[in-house]
Amino acid sequence: MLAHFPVLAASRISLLADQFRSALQQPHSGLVLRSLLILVAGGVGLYLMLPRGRHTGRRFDRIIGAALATLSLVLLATVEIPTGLAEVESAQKTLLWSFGSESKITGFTFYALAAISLVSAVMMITSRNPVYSALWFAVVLLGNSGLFLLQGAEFLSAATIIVYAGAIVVTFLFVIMLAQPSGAAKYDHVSREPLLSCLTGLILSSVLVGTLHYSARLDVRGGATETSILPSAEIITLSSTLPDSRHRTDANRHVAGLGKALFLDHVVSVEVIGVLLLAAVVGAMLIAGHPVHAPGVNETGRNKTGRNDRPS
Amino acid sequence: MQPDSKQIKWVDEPKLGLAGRLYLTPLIDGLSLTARHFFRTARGEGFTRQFPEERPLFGNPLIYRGVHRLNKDEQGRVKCVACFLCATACPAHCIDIIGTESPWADREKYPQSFVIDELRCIFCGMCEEACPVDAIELTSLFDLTGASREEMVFDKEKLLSVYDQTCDLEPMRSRGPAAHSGPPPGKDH
Amino acid sequence: MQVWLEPLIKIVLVVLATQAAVAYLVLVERKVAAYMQDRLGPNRVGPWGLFQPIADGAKFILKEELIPAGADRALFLIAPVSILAAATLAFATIPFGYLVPWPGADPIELTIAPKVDIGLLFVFAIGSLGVYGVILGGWASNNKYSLLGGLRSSAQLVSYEIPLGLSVIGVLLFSGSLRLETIITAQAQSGWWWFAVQPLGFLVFMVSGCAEASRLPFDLPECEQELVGGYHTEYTAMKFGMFAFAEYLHLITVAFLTVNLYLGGWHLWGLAPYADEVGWFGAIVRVLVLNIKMLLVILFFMWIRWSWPRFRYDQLMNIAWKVMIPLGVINLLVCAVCQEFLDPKNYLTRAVLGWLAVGGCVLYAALFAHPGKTRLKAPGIT
Repeated sequence: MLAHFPVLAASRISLLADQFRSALQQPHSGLVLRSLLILVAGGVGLYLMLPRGRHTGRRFDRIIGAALATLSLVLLATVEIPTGLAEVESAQKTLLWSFGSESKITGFTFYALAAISLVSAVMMITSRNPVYSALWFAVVLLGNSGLFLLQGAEFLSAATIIVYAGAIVVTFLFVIMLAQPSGAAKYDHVSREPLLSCLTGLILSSVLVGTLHYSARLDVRGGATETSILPSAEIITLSSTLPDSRHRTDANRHVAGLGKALFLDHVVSVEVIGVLLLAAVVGAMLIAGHPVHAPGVNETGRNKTGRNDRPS
Repeated sequence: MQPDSKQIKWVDEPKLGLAGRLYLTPLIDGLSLTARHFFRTARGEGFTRQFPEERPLFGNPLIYRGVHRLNKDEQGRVKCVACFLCATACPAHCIDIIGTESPWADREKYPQSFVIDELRCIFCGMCEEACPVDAIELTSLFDLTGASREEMVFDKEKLLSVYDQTCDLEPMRSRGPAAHSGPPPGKDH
Repeated sequence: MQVWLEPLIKIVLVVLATQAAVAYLVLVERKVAAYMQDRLGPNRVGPWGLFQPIADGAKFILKEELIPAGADRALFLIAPVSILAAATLAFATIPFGYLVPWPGADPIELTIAPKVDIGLLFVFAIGSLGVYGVILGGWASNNKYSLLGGLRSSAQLVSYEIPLGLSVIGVLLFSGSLRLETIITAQAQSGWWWFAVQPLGFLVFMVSGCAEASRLPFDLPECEQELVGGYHTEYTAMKFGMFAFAEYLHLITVAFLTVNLYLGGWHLWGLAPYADEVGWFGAIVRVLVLNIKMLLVILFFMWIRWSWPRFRYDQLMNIAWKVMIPLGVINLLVCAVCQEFLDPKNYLTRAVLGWLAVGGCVLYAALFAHPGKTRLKAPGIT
């Protein structure tokens, strides 16, 4: 068997190379390669920016990393998005200038929100102060909820703010401020495994770009319905060109649709999750409400009148 | 004191009745109390005096301890004989006197300069008590203000002008023996 | 052109109106406080002190700006801006009725962002962002008292959001929408204001709203008695002014929500009845009715500020988790049962059931749950 291994490996490699070559011949493969290169540059920049080690004098690295990340962000915005719609494709060169005059506000809002989200995400993982990290996380969530709002997912955006920004990040802040009033501990201003995390992020975003490309290719071939796999930018373009999209006539569409989806289509899942959350709450109360039997501490600490400072 | 000391008397909280435990009556009590006060003031039955327009009236302005004055005698001269008793009695050390030979026949000395730092003064009235000739007195002027520290250091002229300002409303508390005849009253006893 | 012109006019109107309202609410608050304490309040600047807000504003702007040494400069500066921005943004979906400028024209919604599906959720979401200003101000000041204020506020506001949300679900059930306009319309059409139908929900909402606005029985984040000024101890001049502004904007928001959700919004029997076509006169009457109701609610908040004692911090948390959330759940249960089994028009039975629930809760509190008992039974670290 071992003797066959080189042959097998060679055949595998040649197969992969064939696939790669055929992928290169796809209409938008140049674009994908460019996006991947840009992503790699961004990943390297991020790696340079991540806080490592004890010494804080790595200013040069941070500046180079920030420059690389900014450059990749700017370049990414200028990459043409492959679309299946001929009229849109002919009108646009890059995503940045792809919006018509009537939808320019929407387009720029999208870009502003996306840039805010990405930049704050980078700041979140590269800042050494945990309070700052939590705050940048809150900004990321705000940007994301703005993007949701732009896509018409009003309920999702409000829920993101209420649940994440309004409750969870506030709890983070509460814990950070309560636990470290005098300053952050060492493990809080050093990134763990900066190389691995950068690589993972790079792979994830590459897969995302590839999927975008794949879905666009499907559209070109007519392999899927247009509504389901359209890239988001196109949905913005389309929905903003719809007549009078600001005054929607069916105002109850989103929340009612969400309610129907949750409580008709996925009612069992909702119930199961509800029971799970209830169990978690009961468990938390059980743990928190357990009396502590510390030595030297009276079990009740209070006498019959409920006053704990009175001698018995 | 130890918590189990016999001197501490422990008092139990009063038991709440049914009305108290409903929480409603205490809450309504609080609301009605404030509402009563609100409407009483709104009807104009408050206690506020409009200060700069309405001067407060003292029951007896002679016993109020406000700004000092240096009294003058009948001939318009300062009554002070520069005996330094007030400066000695002053607990805040705010009185500063320089005495010289008096040009008048009825006394040996008179104050060349008489300075009271009103910012250091605690308005205790000891100077007034100590003065043998009733030359220094505290008036009922209470709204003493100034824009600088220097302005609040009163010299002899200013203290005498306070006398001119207040002598009609508040006469000198005791005339004493006439200053121009006989020895100074401080030496009587 | 027209796409952005109409919202812009509305934004300018609402922002200016709320700023002026806040300035004069401060005067009203000082007057009410003074009258309840047998004083007269500000009466020197202009007749009855009417120009006092202008003098206060000038003072805020002209005073010296101080940034304490050791403070986190960036966050210290961001905190008041963020709290004021969040407080102002919440007005985007608050409706003031609508106007038909001439017969046959399209009605103009007197809302900055009309037809937002999630009007109420939007207000809650933006309101929940107001915590950040408080926490940041408390943390960035580099002051123990400020930090304590920030910590307290983060726990308090997050806790009271739960009963606030619970109490509103009953209203949503009866109105069938998250949009504030629809909620008002439902009350106007039925002729019943929801506070009469769901008294328990109204109570929970008022208490939680008061806590969310950090009004006085719940003023633990800033409490002058213990924490000097809480999170804004170190703030001076206009930065402090921004905190004060945001505080009163929160008060106005809570009052608006109370009126819109429970007190019928612009609806008043006879004077501003439910009708589809509303001309200039009708629209102005509705705005007036809405604002007068709001003012009354604010006056009530000011009244209780001087009438009731403040809570201790553990009492505050107990009220949120052990009193208000169960009451909210009971209200939700009653509303859900009513909605499921009763005729949609039968509001009398719903109101009777709602008040019976209140009676039951009061009776339970009086007979079984008085403070001494709960303290004895409470498990935990002794």
